[in-house]
Amino acid sequence: MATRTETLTSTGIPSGKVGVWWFLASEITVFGGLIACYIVVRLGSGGWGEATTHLNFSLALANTFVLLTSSLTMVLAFAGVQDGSPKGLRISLLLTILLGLIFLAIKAFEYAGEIREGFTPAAGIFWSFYYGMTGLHALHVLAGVAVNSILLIEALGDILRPNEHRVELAGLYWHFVDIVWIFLFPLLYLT
Amino acid sequence: MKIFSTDHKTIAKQYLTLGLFWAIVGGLTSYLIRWQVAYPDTEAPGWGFIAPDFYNMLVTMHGTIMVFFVAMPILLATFGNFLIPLMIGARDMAFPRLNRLSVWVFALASLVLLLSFFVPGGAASAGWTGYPPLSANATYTGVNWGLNLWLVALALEFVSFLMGGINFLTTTINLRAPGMTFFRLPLIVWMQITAAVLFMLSVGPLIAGAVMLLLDRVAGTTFYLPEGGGEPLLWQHLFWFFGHPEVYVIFLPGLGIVLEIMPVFSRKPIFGYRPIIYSTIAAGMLSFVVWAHHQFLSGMDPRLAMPFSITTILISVPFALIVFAMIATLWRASISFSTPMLFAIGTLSIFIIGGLTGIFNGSAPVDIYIHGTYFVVAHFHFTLFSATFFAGFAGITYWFPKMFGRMMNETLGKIHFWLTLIFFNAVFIPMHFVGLGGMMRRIANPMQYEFLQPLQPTNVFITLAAVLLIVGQIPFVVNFFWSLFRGRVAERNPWQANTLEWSAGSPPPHGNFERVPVVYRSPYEYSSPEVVEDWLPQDRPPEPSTAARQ
Amino acid sequence: MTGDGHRPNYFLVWVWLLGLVIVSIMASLLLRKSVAVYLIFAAAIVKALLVAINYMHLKYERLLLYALAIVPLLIVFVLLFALFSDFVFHG
Repeated sequence: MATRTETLTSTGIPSGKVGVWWFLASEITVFGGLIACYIVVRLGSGGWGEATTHLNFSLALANTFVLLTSSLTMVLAFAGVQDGSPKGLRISLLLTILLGLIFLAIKAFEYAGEIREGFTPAAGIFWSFYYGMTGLHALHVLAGVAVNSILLIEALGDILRPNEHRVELAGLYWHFVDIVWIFLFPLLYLT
Repeated sequence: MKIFSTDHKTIAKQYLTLGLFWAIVGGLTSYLIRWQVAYPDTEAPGWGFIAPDFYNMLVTMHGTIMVFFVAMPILLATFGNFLIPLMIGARDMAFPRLNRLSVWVFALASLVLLLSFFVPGGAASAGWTGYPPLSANATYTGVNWGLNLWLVALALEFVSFLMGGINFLTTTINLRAPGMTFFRLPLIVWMQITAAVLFMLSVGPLIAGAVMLLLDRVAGTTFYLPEGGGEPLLWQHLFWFFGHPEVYVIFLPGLGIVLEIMPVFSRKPIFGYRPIIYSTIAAGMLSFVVWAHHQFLSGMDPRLAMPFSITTILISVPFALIVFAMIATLWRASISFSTPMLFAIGTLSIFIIGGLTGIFNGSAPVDIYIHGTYFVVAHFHFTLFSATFFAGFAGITYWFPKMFGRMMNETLGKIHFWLTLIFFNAVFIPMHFVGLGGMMRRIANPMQYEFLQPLQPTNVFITLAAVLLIVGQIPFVVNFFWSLFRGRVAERNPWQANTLEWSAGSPPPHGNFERVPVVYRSPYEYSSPEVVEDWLPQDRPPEPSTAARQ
Repeated sequence: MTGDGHRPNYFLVWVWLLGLVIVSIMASLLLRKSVAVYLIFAAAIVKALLVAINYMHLKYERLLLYALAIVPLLIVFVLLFALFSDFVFHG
């Protein structure tokens, strides 16, 4: 069982976790605000049903599976920490990073296709929201991949041990990004 | 090197430095604005002609600078960073390196904003509120990069304060010294964390909206442009959804400063500690449902006018309660009119007037006439100036000994106070009447309008008073710098106050306390029957006999 | 530290998540639009809750962290309702 010292806190909750949850609370209002705008503008303007037919449903579906699976591997990475299994931690982290990169690659491929057909961000209000929402989300995925990569490098170099709780914190962020996609997928591709 | 310090006290001073720098720039913009209004199309002494486009930029940047680059860094970041760990008995913030990053990001935001003045087309000029379509298309203002940089600077500022908010909240939640329960926290700490919560939860939609505006400007999206199916009004909702809680984010720390100073210089406990806290929380919650009172004339759904008027009038109730609590604290107290106390009482009086005019603005039928006039400008300067400047000066003069280890000069302080009080009122009281007379905001030349010409003598008076108000700040600048180097060396607790920061050295060393304090009581035990002195620090162990009684 | 002996079955949760995705897609293909929408978003909410409660360990956390997840959502809903009146119903 991995051991580490923990500073005493007034609530018993580790400070890092409190901090990350406050960060996530603010992120909920960022994405929530953006999504709320999308919902009302869309409902108020006739539905944009035509525009959505130009989206690539199968790629988005693949991405949904990719991201959901990456949440599984991420939480397994933390399980690796809890079980004192450095190998489990490293493999799961690596898988999470790879899945994140696959998500970004598929997204880039998707964008390229849409732009080739002339559906750039300037193509109308639906596309403004499409690129805005998925773009902001993709940036968050990229940031998550970066953070996880740093953790993996530290784990490989065996210097992560005193800070292994950071895997849990990175996981909280990663799951949040997954949850945003859980809503973006139906909002954009299923309705 | 100090710039790499992670010590919360050093970071607080870095924020103060940046905030005071921007206060000077903001003051310069206000001088030029007032000159142009009083003497349109003449050369401002020390500057030159002010073109109409330049004027638009001045009013825009004045608001942006004062709200985001003066009020927030000084009231929130300086006092919050310096005081929270000390007052809760912690050695530093929960995340010292994140804290350092936050002030660096704020410095970067400052650099970006400064840069925006020097790019072709000049700095942003679509109002501090940046409404599209004016702000969404560079051809409408003639400002291209200036407005893009404005958005980037604001985004960086938001990121900096989000990081700060995470620190303030986690620190207060998790690093309190033994015995420091939530209901033994000094009121300024309650105010700072409520402000942090308000900021954290309200800025998100505006971040989304600002990203959308930036994309409209540089990527060809049409979120706010009707010709592309967009909705200009959407920005207003997103902006004010944040903008209204934001004014309380700025106001609450100032209120907290006054609530700390009043008991100390009244030698009396604060009246209504818990009601004040509950009122603050209620006001905080209400602040999320009042925002559309800024939009009564925007063309939004008129059915929203009544609910938002009701919530707006309602929010005056908790603040009124706090005002009454302050008055009750002063009632029959043994008051010493030191500089901090003068500024604290000044804050209270100015805020009362500002709060009263808020009722006029908040009622939709009245607002139809006064929206967009100088009446609104007078209202928010009374509320914001009291919170930022009067409370800010109160806080600086009160905690200067703790921050810098020296006392400020009382005589200069009192001169500064009276000059500020008199000339502030001379500027902003007449402004109500100018507004009621129909003068619109943000216009560069009132003389162009025949119906405004009779108001011009008042405008000239206001401008002269404004110049004197700015000049009246000189005693403060002199006092501040002189005291930094030549002020009387301060002892640990020059004001004989109870809160934990006064148990640490002046200034406190790294790690703040020789030993982590243990807290035994509330912060406001002044003139307590338990002891001979008229003060009783939070961390003094109880006498054996009183311990038995407890 | 969370869990400390208790741990959700992460694989089972994953299976449920994939299942709900499939249900959503079937709904969008087979049902009338007006009905499918409700099912799809109900499924999304359940998926989000599964991730939050099991992968983010909210099941084992104290009230404070729940509050940090729920209060911002309430605030977003306030914004949503106000925006509805202005943009959907075109008052």
